[in-house]
Amino acid sequence: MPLYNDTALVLRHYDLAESDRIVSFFGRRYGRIRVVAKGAKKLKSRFAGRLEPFHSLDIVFFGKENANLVKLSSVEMSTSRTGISADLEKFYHASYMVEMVEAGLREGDPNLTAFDLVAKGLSWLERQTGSKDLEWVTRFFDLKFLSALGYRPMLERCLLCKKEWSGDTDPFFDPLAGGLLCRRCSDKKTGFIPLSKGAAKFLGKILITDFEMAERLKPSQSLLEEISRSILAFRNARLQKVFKTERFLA
Amino acid sequence: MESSQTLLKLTEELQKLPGIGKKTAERLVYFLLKAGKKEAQSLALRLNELAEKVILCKICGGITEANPCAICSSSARDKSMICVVEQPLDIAIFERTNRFQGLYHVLMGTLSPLEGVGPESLRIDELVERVKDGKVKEVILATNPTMDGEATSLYISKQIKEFGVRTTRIARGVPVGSDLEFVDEITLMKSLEGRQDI
Ligand SMILES: [Zn+2]
Ligand SMILES: [Zn+2]
Repeated sequence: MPLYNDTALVLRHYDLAESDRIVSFFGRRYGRIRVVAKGAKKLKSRFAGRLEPFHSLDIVFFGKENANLVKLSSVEMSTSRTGISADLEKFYHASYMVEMVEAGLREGDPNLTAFDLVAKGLSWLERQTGSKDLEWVTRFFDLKFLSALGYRPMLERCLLCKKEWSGDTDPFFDPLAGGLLCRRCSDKKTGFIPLSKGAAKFLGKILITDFEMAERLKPSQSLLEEISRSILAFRNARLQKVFKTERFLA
Repeated sequence: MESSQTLLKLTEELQKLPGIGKKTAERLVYFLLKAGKKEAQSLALRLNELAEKVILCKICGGITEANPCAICSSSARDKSMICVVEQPLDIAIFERTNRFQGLYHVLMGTLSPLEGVGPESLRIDELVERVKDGKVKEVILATNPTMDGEATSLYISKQIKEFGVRTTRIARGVPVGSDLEFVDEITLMKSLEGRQDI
């Protein structure tokens, strides 16, 4: 039987019969996969403590091509993120990231950009000490993650008339179509969100900023509230999902 | 199987049990058919008794036929200690050690944001009420050492902090009889954090 290896984030696990578990991973190479970990709940399991959510692991698994579930063969720790379980806020936000992955990516649908973003997002969470930036970084993550899925919003020109946005006027954001509308075109559609020109430019800045730089880009509270409306409406329109973890985020 | 609706319905019921798929359910049904009337009736009787008599203790949430349960109503138990567990079955596991003399409190699960399970779905308010009355000196958090179990313990410790009780977490570490060579780094780290004087 063929062996596969991957670097993978633990998303969550489910109990299977007796002492076995199904572990849901987000693999760098294979995307979202579910793997059976035999005896994972047993005291002397060689997988033991490593299979908890949010760690990055180097995993080896095997199984037949097209098999519904493959089996875990071995596990090495790549990046441990134990700090997340020591803080409820971190735990809730990390759970939200997992839910984003599950909402945005089907099983066996690899996405390297999304993988790197989630890995960085989880590491960022684990490093924080009493940070007040959680809300901001989460919205930053949302927009970057949606673009990684291929939902990059059009911020350079008007979605309808295609005219380049000059940056001198306040545009509108259309969450369904994913982008800006000029003032004149906004009359022709409904369900858009008014956006100040500063906020529209700021959304563009997020798209070209690396995750590591997110904290430095931190907007004022009022700007954050403004862009959050557009980002969340965009997320909901694209992923069509009620997020169970959302009510846990302060 | 389609010859009998009764068989079909029973197979469907059995399939709702954890770890039982269609094949196993069918095999169980055929076994009962072959075993004869008495076997099936005795099983039905036991299932009925389970549904009628077995309840959850109104204080600790443990499995019992009397309310409150034998542990909660025993005068021999140490009422200053409460051991908090996830499931009713966990009580039996602790009782088997014959070591713990305090009381229990079953949460009926853990926090699980991904499943939408928040503190309001657990028996946390009930625990806070028990701690409030002042007799409790120590709360031992014995949820599983999983991510959800750790988060749940953390949440509870914050909720009961203001009542000034001692809050402890069961030690996580190297399993007795194992070899350090085969212990993963997370477990090893936890065992260092939880080290004790000897
Ligand atoms: Zn236009
Ligand atoms: Zn009881």
